[in-house]
Amino acid sequence: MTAETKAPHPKHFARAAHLMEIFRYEKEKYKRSSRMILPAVLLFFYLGFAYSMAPQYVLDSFSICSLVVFLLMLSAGVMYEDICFPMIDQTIFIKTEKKELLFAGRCLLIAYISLGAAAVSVLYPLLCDLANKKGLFMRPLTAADIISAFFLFWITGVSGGITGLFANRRIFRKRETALILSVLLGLLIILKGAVGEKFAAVRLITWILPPVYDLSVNYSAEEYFHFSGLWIYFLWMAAYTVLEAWLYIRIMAWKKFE
Amino acid sequence: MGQFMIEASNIQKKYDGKTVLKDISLQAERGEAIGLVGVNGCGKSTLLRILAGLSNPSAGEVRRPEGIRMAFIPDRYEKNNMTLGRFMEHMYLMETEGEDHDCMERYLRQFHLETMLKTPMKYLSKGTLQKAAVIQALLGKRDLMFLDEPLSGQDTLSQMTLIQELRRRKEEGMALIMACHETCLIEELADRIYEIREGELADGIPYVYGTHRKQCSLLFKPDSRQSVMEIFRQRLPEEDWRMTDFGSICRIEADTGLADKLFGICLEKQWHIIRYEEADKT
Repeated sequence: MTAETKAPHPKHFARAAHLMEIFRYEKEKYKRSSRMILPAVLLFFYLGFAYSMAPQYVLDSFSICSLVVFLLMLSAGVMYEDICFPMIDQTIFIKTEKKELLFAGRCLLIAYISLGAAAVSVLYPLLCDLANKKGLFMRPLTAADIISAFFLFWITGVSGGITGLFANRRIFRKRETALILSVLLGLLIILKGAVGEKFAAVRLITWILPPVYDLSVNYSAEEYFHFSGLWIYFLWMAAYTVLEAWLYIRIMAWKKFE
Repeated sequence: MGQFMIEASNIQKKYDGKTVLKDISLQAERGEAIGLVGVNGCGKSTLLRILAGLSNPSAGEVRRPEGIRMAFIPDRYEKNNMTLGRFMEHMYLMETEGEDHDCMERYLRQFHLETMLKTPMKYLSKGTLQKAAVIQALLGKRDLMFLDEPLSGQDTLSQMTLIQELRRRKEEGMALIMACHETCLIEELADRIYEIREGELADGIPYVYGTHRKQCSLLFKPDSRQSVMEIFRQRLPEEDWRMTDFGSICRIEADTGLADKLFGICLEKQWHIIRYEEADKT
């Protein structure tokens, strides 16, 4: 194959540009709504409470925080439905050649919000530690702790947000059903291990849920972060999140605006 | 035969077991405008949404040529926190064929929105939001446009601007499918009018909006609006006729026997005749 034939088609550039514009539109829509306030307040509330005690285990505290980020992003994903404008969306949908892009733009928005949540969740303890003359944790923080925690928060946040996106009116006609299911699902995802220990039969179903619990438990299994032992869980989580996003996009494009 | 822009075959739609549309087939060619009319709740918007690809039919198929550029003007637009200017900018940037930015500014001027660009959309009136819905559809080149009550809430001048723009694009080859009650839009643009009755398409009926009497309908543009009604009153004092004023254009409906007289008056006064139609007695 020649280099010429390998070059990306201009159509692909146009689609990428279109996706980015959909993302920018979604981002501005989200920023101008009040839907970010509650999850942000809850996150700061949690961080303030969790890091008010010292000294703490580094990876344990990050592991628990990742579950909180997951739940808060789940709620952000569920609340996204409240800033959906079906008529405006329909006019964008019809003009968009590749219909999936409209919904891919929402997944990008979730990734962007999660990026913010991850940054806050990492910076807050870091600054607290510095303010306390490195006395917040049982041991000094390392670069690996900070980087791994950032990715842990980000990926669990994205997974939570995309799981929340499923709770929309085109998948669940009744909003109440969507909200109740989201709460139950969120709890089941983070308590997967404990529930599985009590009721072994539940494991037959819970394996299908996002591996948030598996990642967070294994993340805090040792004193120091070891990439060699954890990359498989990060990969599993990333693959699961990509699959989840793909499923969301396919379902929404198939359901259209029924 | 022209290039087809959309072809729907045997479309059916059921909601909760209730059949809304039964076995509807429809085709529109390049430069053709189709009007869908009927009473409220007859399924016009449902059919339009299926044709536009916004809703899936329960049975049947909709085909459109590959890479066709489409747009949709809905009957309403939502209020949101974004300013009108930012919203229109996003809509412009979502156009993928490098459309001219001046084009958007021109439309904003023509629809009298240039002073409202800094206003959050949540504070705009229904008519102003409707204009935003119209402009987003006009921003790029289109091969096929779907319109669902596009004139609702708009002022007369903006309605005329839209009709003029749609007519220009239609002449350039854009196909239109309209679901609407607005007489002037149908009369100005539609090449074929279908009535949806009991979920079925009443094929090619010579439909004069709201009535099925034997009558003629003359659409014209007088030079002076004030005297038009008076002139007809003087010239046709005993006859049964009805005039509707759409702003710069007027429509007079009467028995077809009066058609010659109506033409005579328009020609004598040198008024521009836009369209003449007749409807059979039903």
